[in-house]
Amino acid sequence: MTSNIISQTLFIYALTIVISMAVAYMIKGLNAVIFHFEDAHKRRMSESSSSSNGKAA
Amino acid sequence: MVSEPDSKIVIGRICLMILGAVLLFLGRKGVLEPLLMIPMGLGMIAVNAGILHFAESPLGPAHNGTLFLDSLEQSNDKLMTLMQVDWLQPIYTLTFSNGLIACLVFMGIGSILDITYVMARPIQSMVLALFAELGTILVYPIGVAFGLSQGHAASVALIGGADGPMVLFGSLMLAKDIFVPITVIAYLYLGLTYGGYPWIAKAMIPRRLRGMAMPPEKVKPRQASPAARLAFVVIACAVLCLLFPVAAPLFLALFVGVAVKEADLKPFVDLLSGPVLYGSTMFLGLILGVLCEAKVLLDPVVLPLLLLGILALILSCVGGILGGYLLYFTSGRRYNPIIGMAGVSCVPTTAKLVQKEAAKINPRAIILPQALGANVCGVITTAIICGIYITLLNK
Repeated sequence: MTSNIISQTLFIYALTIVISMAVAYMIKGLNAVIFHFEDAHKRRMSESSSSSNGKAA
Repeated sequence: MVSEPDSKIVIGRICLMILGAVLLFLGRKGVLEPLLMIPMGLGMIAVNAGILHFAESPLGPAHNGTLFLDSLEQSNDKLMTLMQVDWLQPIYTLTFSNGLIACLVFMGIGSILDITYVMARPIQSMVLALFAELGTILVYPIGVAFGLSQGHAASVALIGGADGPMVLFGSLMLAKDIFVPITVIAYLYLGLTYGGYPWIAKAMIPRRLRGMAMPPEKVKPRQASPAARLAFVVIACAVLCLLFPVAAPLFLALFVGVAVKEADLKPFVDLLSGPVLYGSTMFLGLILGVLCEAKVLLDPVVLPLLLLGILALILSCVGGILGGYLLYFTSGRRYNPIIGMAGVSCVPTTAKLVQKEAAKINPRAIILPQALGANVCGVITTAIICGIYITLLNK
């Protein structure tokens, strides 16, 4: 019984660590993806504004 | 004819009235959380004074409740009658015993959470939060060794997460028969963390380290935009609800609050962070106070819960500080170890406490962003453990 409870506790903590760290890495990965798209969007915006400036000139 | 009560019960009721007055006074002084302690203290005084001379409720011997509500009634017919008699019964039956009030508090908390630092440094914040779950994990086998059932032991272990709504929700799922004393004990102790945690920090961390200012980071983390934060909220909520359907109400309540804030829906933020949060907290305090009747708390089953609850909170604080030390050593002694204490997810009390303790020694020590990061991750890890306990043990 005691060893069962101890192994169950270890399993619960291990599962908590795995899921929590998965969430943490998910946040990190999500950040990287979103920053990539934000940078690409900014680049496109600056390119299109500079080309429209060129046409106006 | 109403019979005379046992003298032990009368003494217990007088002691609880005195305790209520002490809680009210300490809340007024700011030593304990005033938002909870003032209605709770007054509720304790009123309920124990109101039934001081009664062995049974004035409503009759079959009615075990109090003048204000009956927490033990299960029959739907009798509940319908009670809801028309006891003035707090509707609030208890329709919001407390089904976990709604816990979810409302969570929505309010979500709407004031700042997830900026969590998104900038998720790994660091999560490591601290995992260390600060030491009590939530270790008290489970200790509770079983004390002779509690697995569900009861897990419910009392959840007190280590220092998250009142989570304890209420978890104990409703895992230990419905003793969820009243567990929740009362959890909230009593959560008030005490305000006064007790600084002493643990003083015992474990030298003054020089407690007041250490965090040097500027070599590589400054890029701040996520509100759109990015909203995307995180949506994905995290979906993933956690998928993994733990039993704890989905809590996850949804928390993340809807965060989503409303990140989407900048000002009327909703004002609603959740004002009337919903404060209204729920006030009625939560009042109902907990009214539940602190001598007969409930003098039950022999309460003593191990009292011991295990305080043990869970102490172990979580110690674990959080150990996590703080881990980051202190791995960061080349640039990290203030007291931040680890904020991994205990009593949002935002422990984060504010950590900042206050550091600023007392060194007014230039600004550690609140890191503390809030650990605090928010603490909520997530406690919800995960709550979900695991309910999934594994709720049979």
